[in-house]
Amino acid sequence: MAGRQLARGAALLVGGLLGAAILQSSGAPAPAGAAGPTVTERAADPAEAIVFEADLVMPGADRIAAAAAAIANPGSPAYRQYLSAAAFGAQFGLPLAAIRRAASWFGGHGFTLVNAPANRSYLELEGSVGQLQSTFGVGIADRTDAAGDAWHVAIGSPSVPAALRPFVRALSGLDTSPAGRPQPRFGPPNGLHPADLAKAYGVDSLRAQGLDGSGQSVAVVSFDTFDARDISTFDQATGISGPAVQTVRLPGAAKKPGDGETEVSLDLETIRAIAPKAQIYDYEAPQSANWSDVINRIVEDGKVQIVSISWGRCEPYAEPAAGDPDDVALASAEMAGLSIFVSSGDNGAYDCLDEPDGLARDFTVAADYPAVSPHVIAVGGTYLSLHKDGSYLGEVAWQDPLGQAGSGGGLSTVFSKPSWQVGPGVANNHSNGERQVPDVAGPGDPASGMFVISDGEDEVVGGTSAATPFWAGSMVLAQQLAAKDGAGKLGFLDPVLYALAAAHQDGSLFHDVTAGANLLYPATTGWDYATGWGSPRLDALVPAIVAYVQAHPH
Amino acid sequence: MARADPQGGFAAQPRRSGSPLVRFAIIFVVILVITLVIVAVLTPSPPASSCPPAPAPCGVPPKPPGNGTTGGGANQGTGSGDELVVGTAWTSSEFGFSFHYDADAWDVQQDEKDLLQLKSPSDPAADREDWVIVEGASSTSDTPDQLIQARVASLQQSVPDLAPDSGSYYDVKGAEIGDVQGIAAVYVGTLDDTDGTPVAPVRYSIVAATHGGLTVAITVRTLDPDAIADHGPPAITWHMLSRQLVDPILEDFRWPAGN
Repeated sequence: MAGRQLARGAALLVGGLLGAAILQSSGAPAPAGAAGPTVTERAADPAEAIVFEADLVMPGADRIAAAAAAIANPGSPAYRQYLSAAAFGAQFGLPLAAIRRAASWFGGHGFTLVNAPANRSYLELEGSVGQLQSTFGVGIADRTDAAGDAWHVAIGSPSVPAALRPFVRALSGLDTSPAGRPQPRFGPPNGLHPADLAKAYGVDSLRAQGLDGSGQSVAVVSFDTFDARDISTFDQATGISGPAVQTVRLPGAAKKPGDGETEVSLDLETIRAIAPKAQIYDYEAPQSANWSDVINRIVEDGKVQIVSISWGRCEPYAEPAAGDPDDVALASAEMAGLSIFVSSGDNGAYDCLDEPDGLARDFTVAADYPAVSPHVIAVGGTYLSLHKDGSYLGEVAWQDPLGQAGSGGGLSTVFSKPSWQVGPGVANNHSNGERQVPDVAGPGDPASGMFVISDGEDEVVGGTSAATPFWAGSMVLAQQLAAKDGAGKLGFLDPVLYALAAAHQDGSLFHDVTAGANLLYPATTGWDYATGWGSPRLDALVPAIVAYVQAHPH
Repeated sequence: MARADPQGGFAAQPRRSGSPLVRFAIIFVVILVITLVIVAVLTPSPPASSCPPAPAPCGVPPKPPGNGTTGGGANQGTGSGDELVVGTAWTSSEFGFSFHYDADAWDVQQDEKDLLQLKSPSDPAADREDWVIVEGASSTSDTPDQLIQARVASLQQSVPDLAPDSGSYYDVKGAEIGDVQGIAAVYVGTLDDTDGTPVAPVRYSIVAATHGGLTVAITVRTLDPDAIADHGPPAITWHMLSRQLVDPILEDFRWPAGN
C-alpha cells in the first residue's frame, strides 16, 4: 500500500538562496511525465527481516467521519465528547478477541507481533522475506538508486488468506521508498526574532497577561533530530528561557542530526519563540516510519493536545486513502481532541514539483499530505512586512515565481471537505466538494523567515515549515488561557477557527491576506487557497477562541 | 517502528548526499559555513541577541517600500513611509517605478533612467556570472510580449542560437511583478567566445507585466557553471538558485503611484 509509504518531503525552506528541488525517488507509481532516477533492483535475501502492517478490518470505518463531525458540532450531543485511542478503537474497530485471533494466526505462521495500536487500525508485524513469500505470495525486491539510497518494494500484491479476511483487509508497509527530505535555503542574515513575532502578531499583550506557555505542553513530529546546544544558544541569543526539550524517540529514529536537522531546530525554536515556557516533546521517528506510527504514539501517550508537523509529501505521490491506517490515526487524534498543525507545502499550488528526481519537474496541481487531511489544520505561508517600529504592516501570500516556490494550497483529490469548512470565500469557482487547504497562514516566505540556530550556525529559515510551529506555539497560549479561565480542553481547533473567522470578517481576529498568490491561486478577501483565513491577531484571537469554547460547553 | 530499520543491508538512511542537487546543497552549505567562519573570525561579535535598541525590531524582514514614498500595494501598507526598509533602493527617473535589491548579492552594471542592470559580484569566490536587467517602457509602445521580444532580439546579437527553452523544468508559474500579473518566457542559448567558439550554455528567464501606462520586463541571465568552474553544482540547480535570487525584486517591485 504505497499510500502509507509517506516519504515526507519536509516543507523546510531556509532563507532565500538555495532553491531547487531535492527529492526523492520512490517505489510508488509516479504520475505521467515524472522522470525517475536510475535505480537498480535485486531480489531480497529470503532471510531478510521485514516489518510490515496488517491493516485490520474496521467495522465502524464508515461512521468515523460523521462521528468526528459530531464532536466538532456544538449542536450535537457528542459535541466535545473526546475519545481516547482505546475508546476510538472500541467504537470503530474489531473486538479485542478478534484482534487476538488475528495476532495468534500470525504468531502461528512465524511472524512476530511488534505493535498493536490502541485504535485497533493495524497490527505491526515482523517476518522474513521468505515467510512473506510463502504465506502471502508476495516477493520483496531491494532497490538502490544512483545515490546509494536503498529501500525495498513488494513484487506482486499480497494475498490475504481466507482465514484472515474477517480480521485483516490488507497488508501494507512492504514498500520503504526513501523519504523526502528538507530543502535548506539560506538567506538574509537577520530573520524574525521572538521579539519581532511578539510585536507583529500581538503576543506582547498576551505576555503581559502572563501567557508564556507555562504549564502547557506541545509536541513536534520530527523525522530527524537536533542538537540541544542549538536550543541553548537560541535561548541565549534571544533572551528567552524555558524547559529543556524532551525527546521521545520511536524505534529506529536518528541518533545524530542529519539532513533534517534545520527543520527540527526551526520547529522547536519557533514554538519556543512564541511559548517559551511550554514543555516541548520532540517525537522523533525514522524516515521510513508511517504517519500512524508517530501519531498513534502521541495520542496514546496523552501528553499533549497540540502538535506541529512541518513534513509532508504531495498527495498524488503520498497516495493516502480515506480509512487507511494513517487516516485512522489522524481521525483518532482529532477525536481525542488534538489539534495537529501541518505545513501546507512549499511549492505553491504545484506541490509535486520536487517529486521527480533529477532532470524533471512535475507541474501537477496538487496539495500536500497530511496537510490536506480533514483531521488536521493546514498552515500556509505569507511574506510579513513591518513598520519601522516593528509593528505589523501587512502580509502577502508567499510566492517566488522564479524559484518555483510558494505557499502550498489547493484541493484534495482524496478527502472530502469537512462539514465545518464553511465561510466567506470557502465556496468558490474551484470548489468541488473536496477538502480545501490551507486553513490559516503565518510568516513563511524565506525573505521574512525565522531566526534559527541550527548546527551551531545562525540561519534564516522560511517555508510553511516556519509558519506551522508559529501557529502551534500560538495555540499553546490559547491553551494556557483556557486553563487559566477554566475553559477546559480546546479540542480540535479547526472548526473553531472557521466559526470565528466566518463570524469576524472585520479583520479583528485574522489578518486577511488579499494580495499575492501561490503560483496559481490568488489571495482574496475571506478564505483563499494561498493563505486560508490569513494570519492571527493573537491578542484578539486567543481570547476569542477561549470565549468560543466557554460559550459552547459540552 | 520497524520499517524504519530495514535490515539485510538496506541503507535506509535519509538521502544525505543522494541526488546531484543534494550534493550541491551540501557544497553550498560548506562554502557558506566556511565563509561564515572566516567572517566570524575576522569580525568578533557578541553572542547575545543582535537586536538593535528599541523600538527597532530585532530581525528585519527585507521588505522595502518604494523609497518610503509610495508603498501600499503589495504590502497592504499605509504608504505612510514608516515601513521598515532593507536593501538598496533604485528608482527609474523616467518612469518612477522602484525596487530594492541586495547589494551583497548584486553589483550595479548599468544604471540608466529606464533601466538598471545588476550583475553578480566580481568576487571570484561568488563564482557566479549572472545578471538581471530591470527595464521599463511606455505601455503605449510596448506590451509585455513586445518588450520580451525586444529583449530577446537584443540578446540574439551576442547569443545567435538563442531559442525558447523546449523543456518545462524552468517554467515560470505565477509570473507577477509587484503583484501585477504578467507573462514569462525562458530562452536558452550558447555564449560564444570572441573567436566564435561556443563556451557557455546560458539561460534567460524573462518576466514582463503592464500596469497603467508602464510596461516592465525583468530579465535574468544564468550561466551553466561548468563554463565558469571545473567543479560545482549541477547546472539545473545553479540556474534555479541564481534565478531565485531575483524573486525578491519581483516581489518588492513598486509601480509608480498614480500609474
